[in-house]
Amino acid sequence: MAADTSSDDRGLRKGKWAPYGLLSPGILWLVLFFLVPVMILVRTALSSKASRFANPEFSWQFSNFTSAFTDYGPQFARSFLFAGIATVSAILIGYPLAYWIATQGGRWKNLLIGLVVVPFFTSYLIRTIAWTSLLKDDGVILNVIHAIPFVPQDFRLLATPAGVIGGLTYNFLSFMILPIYVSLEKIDFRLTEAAADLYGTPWQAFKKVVLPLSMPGVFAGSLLVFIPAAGDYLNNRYLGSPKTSMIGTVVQDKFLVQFDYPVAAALSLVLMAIITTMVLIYSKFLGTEGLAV
Amino acid sequence: MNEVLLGEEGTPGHGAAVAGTADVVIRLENVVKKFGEYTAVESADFDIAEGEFFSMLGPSGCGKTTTLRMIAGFEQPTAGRILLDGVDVSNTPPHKRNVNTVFQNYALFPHMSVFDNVAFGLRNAKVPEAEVTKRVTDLLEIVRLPEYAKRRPNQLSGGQQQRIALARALVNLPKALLLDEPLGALDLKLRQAMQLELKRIQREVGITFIFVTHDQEEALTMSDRIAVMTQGRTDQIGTPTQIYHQPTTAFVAGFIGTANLLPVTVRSHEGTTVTVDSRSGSQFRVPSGGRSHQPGSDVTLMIRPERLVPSFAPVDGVAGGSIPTTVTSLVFQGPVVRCEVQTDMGSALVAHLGPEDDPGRLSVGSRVDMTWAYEGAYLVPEAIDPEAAGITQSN
Repeated sequence: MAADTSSDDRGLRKGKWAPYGLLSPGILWLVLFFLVPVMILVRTALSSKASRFANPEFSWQFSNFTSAFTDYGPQFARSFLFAGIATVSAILIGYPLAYWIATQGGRWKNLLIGLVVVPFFTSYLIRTIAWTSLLKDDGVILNVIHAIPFVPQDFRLLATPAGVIGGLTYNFLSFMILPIYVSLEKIDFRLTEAAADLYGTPWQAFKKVVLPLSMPGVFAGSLLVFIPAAGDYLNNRYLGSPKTSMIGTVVQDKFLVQFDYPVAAALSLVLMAIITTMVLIYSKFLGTEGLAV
Repeated sequence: MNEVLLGEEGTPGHGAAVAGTADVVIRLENVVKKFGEYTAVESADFDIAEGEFFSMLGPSGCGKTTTLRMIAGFEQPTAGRILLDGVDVSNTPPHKRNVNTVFQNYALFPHMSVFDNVAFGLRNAKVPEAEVTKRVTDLLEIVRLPEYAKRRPNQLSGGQQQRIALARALVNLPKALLLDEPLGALDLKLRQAMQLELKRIQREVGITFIFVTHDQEEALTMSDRIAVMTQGRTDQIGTPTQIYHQPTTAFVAGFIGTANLLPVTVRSHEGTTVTVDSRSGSQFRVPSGGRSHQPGSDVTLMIRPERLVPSFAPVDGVAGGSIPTTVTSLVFQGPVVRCEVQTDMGSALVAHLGPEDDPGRLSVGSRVDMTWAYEGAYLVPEAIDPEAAGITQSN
């Protein structure tokens, strides 16, 4: 009996440490490649530079943070506005597509979902550059648009906010479609039969049953689109202009062109902080409760 | 097939089969459903009366669920008509029909509280919110779960979810409540409790229940009338007593409870008694069951296991017949001893022997004459394959 108990104890002790053992590679990874770099970033953000090519010296330089707001307010505002519009557009385009695949796809479902990720076979950069030739002033799309009566002669897409938002929507659309598809696919469509049985019109059945049950997918998709879109600089660089510059453009410019590491680091941290806050507020409203269902 | 269907109890014709003179709520007129080449329902043709507990019973694939789904509106009949209160609803979408369904998996809305689930139909029907609250509360009272209004479905047990599904459908006071094997997912104890509960609720609300099941015991326990279906056909419609004691086909005889079926040939029919020849050459006198039997026709003799007794035990009533057999197995089952015997023609028969039958005198291998009372035998007006003779039971 006593021997039994002690062996049980050993088993328990082993079981107690097993989760940490399993987590350790992940924890190590996060510490090395997330926590440490963030600390370095914080340190850099509080540094100052004697000259353009000097190394940043740690000096509690809080003005880097204040200048992030005072000097780059419009870029921040544009980032969130463009990312927000791109997210909403991605929902409007992605939801019906995901719904159609989930409900009407039948045996072609997997193929259709495969087609959604086909664009990823080409590099993000190349896809974005390809859009410049599609959207350019004497390109295919503009020629068609200009053929429509009453379209002003100076109407253009390249180097406009519409161009940037379009690029963001296009580049991140798959990240919206996939999670929405997954959450729709999980729904037991006998529930819509139940809704119809209880006098619900097809629209009521969708609004009251399918839509609420697919909200976890919309929530996840929105984060996956909004977060990278808010920090993106490529779309603005190739499809926009200095007038449409976003905060990602500024950070990239500070880091790689002006070598102004402290301000670039401060801008990055502010961007992170704002996005985190927005995500928390967003999840308060939409709730992660749905994710548990 | 028509002769089979037109037995006295099996009459699917309109009106005749409906209990009493109550009003017809649902009428199926020669309803056919095909899925491509496959015929799911060959011809459903019957009436269901107001306030009736009507069951559709049959093995899986017999068309009972498809018939129910056509009444609900989830499927449209390929041919024929479905009348609800005299109005043709064959092609009316489900949300415009005043019938409600309790689904096999309950299909409760997981993101809504119990209250909102039950209120769903009323709110879609634009019932004022004050009345919604009152009716939902009343219904939760009837299914005895008033304190669960704020819970989510996933916080309830299977039996509780079942009651909520019932409340959600009944709160709308439908013309008929359709139940698609609602007790299938429950364990035996709970299922038996829910059978009585369903019956109580049905009496309390007085709504027509149309109940689909493959469990004959469940159907016998709850139904006013049962339609026994197989392979898309309705074999017989009748009260549980009629279905059990006077089956019109060999399938019904075997599907409802356990039956001993023997192929026999009609020798003569005089008054209410039919004389038949068995394969082994014996003659038995059997009640005609109100049918006329043509001499020379092949029919099936049915004797329920509780009617078979060993010859040394007293027969209740006038003797009807006797078959020499050999005992092949004896199993004690509590109230009865299940005794399997083999006739000299090779058919296996089963008898349920009570204490008065003195089963202690039997042992495996012993020779015994099995006898039955005159009214303990019944003629099924359908021939069976001699190969299929003997014990038949659904499970």
